[in-house]
Amino acid sequence: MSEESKKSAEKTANTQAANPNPSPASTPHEAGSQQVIGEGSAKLGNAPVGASGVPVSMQSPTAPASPAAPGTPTSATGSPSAEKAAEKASETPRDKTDIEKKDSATSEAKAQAAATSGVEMFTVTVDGLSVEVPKGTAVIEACFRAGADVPYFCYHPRLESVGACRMCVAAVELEQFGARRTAIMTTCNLQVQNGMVVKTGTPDVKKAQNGILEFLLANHPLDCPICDRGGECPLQNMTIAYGPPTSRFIEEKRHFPKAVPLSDFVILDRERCIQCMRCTRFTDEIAGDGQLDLLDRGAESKIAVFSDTKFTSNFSGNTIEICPVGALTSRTYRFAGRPWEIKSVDSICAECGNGCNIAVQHRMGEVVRINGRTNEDINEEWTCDRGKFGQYYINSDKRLSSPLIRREGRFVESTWEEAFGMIADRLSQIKAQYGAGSIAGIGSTRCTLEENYLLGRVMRGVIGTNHLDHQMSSYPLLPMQTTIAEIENFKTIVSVGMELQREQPIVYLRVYKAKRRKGANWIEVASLDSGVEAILRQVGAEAVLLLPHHLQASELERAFAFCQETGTKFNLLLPDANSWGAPTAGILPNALPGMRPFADGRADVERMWGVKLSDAPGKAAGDIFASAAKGEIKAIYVMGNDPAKEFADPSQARRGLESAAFVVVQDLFLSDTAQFADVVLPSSSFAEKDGTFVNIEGREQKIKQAIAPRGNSRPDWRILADLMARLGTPVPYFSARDIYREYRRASGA
Amino acid sequence: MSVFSEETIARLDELISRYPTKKAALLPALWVAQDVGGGVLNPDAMEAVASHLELPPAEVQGVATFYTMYNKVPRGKFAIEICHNVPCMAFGAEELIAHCEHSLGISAGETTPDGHITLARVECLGACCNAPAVQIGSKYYENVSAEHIDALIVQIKSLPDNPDHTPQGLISETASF
Repeated sequence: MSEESKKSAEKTANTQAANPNPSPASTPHEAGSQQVIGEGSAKLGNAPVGASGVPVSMQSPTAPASPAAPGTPTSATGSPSAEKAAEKASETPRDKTDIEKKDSATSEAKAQAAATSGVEMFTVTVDGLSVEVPKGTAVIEACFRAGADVPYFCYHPRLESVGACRMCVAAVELEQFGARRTAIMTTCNLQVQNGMVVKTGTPDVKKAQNGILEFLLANHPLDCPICDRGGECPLQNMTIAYGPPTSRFIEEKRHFPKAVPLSDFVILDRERCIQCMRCTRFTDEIAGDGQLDLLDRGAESKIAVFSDTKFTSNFSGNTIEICPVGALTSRTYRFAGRPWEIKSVDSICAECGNGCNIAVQHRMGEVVRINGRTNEDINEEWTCDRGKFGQYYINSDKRLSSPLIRREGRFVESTWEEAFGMIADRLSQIKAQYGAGSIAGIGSTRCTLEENYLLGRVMRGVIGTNHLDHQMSSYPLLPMQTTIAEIENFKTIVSVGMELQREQPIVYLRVYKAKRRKGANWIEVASLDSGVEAILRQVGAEAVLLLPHHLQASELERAFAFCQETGTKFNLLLPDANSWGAPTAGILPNALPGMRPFADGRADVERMWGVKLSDAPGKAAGDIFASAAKGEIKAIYVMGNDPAKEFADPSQARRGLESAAFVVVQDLFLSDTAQFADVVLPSSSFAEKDGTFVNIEGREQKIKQAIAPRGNSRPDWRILADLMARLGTPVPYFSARDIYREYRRASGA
Repeated sequence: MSVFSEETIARLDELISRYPTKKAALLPALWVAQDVGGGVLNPDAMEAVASHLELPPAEVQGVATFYTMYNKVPRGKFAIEICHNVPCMAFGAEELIAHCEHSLGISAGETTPDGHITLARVECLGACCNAPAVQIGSKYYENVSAEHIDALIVQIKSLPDNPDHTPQGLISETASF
């Protein structure tokens, strides 16, 4: 016996020895095997994400009403006490929670829809519990629906099943060649038959699972102590729950390269790979670029990119998350911490307007990684690489850590007190000398709704100017006519003048899904002139038109009018995390919170803010910079924006900023615009504050603070609230939530 | 863009026309690429096939590397392909390979310096009943012993050229290449 395999065998044995009397609750498999078949008891709530998407209805022979309803989380694990608890629960049924009600309503609705649309429903008995599922459902999904615990590695609810890992075996009794027979079969690539009987916990099944894991671990390096996946690794978890206590393999393990960089973000450990092909199926079926594939054959099989190329997919990071072992790991998170040391905070991605649900994961005050969270309406469970790997600027040393004041042409660090004093003095002085109309504000499509609202209040309510804008290039604010999820139902999808993969990654995933799974026709054209009208005239209402914000406003209006005519859905896709939040917060020259025109919202807002709003017409960003260059606008207050770099005509913005007598910039970094500032205030990133982002669909989603603001920085809303007090209008805002409530009332909700 | 001549592209298009999808033409397309590449399938050719069949290059490489009949490195005029999978191994395939390595003076996977003979380990040849199995060109040799293979090597060395150096000669559909 080689030294290494001896060690690994001991290690596996020790894992078991450490827990000589495993309680049924800690070993789901044993719990399952103790279940009495035919009793109608079932463990529920373990179904993975996708299983809830399977339209099914459930029938429980003995307890048809309450605790066996789909999605009901119970602790019934088969142990005597748990069974008692389950019995108790069935005596006094508790009310379903809202989520459970919604869940069962959805599955009933789906089952009904399936029934009315002519989909045949099959009855399958899993561990004595019968469930009704539509024809075509995989057996593993029926098992999850019945609450049975089936272990798996390669199965993934969003990918086509290949039966590569062989872990999901169960004893399946089915009709074959005119006879009923029972066989140990993989359940992920087997479709249900009517009257099928599945047993997930028989001794045969357990032996098979033991054997599969023994094979999978035969060459697995078991280098868990230095593996980034250790602690959140399905292979570890399955081994504890289903694995053999020891291994019969005494041979030296195979050795392969252990740290192969596939790209700047993804690193491959060939020894740990179990060839489940989740990553290759992801690149093929979900991302659509097929950049990863299984090369070579047999024992030499390896996951790789073509020849000497790089894994350049914009969705490469997802393969790290779906890898069931530590084969694909992140280069940015490499050795950055153990999973159990990491705190995770649910948030929303700040990189583009799609509004992916993410988990910001941090360790000791540093963001170490971003993971995707499931939201079926937006990102399903995916993220793009910009969202996953593009957020490390949060930890950057180049971030501003204290306020800067320009003295004799150079920035000098100062205290917040000093900076606020200077801003309040100069703004009051300019207002007194040149009138409120000589002050302008620039909001941001990357700051939260609350912060933009507060900037609007400071500018309109405290200073009294209407010169407010957020757009760095002018585009019409036309709402999307479908949701992101609805895009996948169109037969024709026309995208104009953009690289969808990079600019609107999550919209792209829906478009590709429509093309791949539903046979939609995706037409990419360079401009609206390339025959778009002819296409739309042909397909009309069955089509959706996707447009970027950077087309000419006149072109967009023309396309909009044309879509009205043909019935095509018109989706203008805005670029930034809060492209809709800034205007709805009222950062427009001519609109109040809620995008209400003055005539409509004035009374509400004046009452709430306790001021009389100015009647002077507001100026848009271009006019603000032009007026500043002419000397009409003396002060510009820029929050979280960088017009010196990002304005449609940067030189015009630079001229304006240069001529303005007083410029304040709130930003994370010393941006190009900050170079023109008299006072620069360090603000916090999205991971360091609470707030609301409004995505391209107009969906409001909350971001939550994960870590303390870096250095001496403060959230933009906090800065503005403090400044309001200095300007003589103290309002006790304690949280972003306070501001959100005020915004709702101000917008007439 | 493509490394293929117009004539080769015409051959590929003709193959594609025989199948319901472009992807289905992948195996014969790779034969064509190997044929025009002088018996070798290099990554450039794989990429060209991929772009012509609208497939990801990685998928094409995956298929090409799966089959030992596609030569990723140049081979000699004759290839002695010895199966090393379980039944053959149990009946002495490893000893046979070692014997050939010794008598040819090369390791498995290499070609003799005169470019005449390549020795290769291959996956299952489907002749498990008469293991160990060896394939040379389109011919199968079963129950092969060290004496047999020595005789075969002598025979091969006497031949100037191999009339059918790839198994594609066996496939009637692709025989027209």
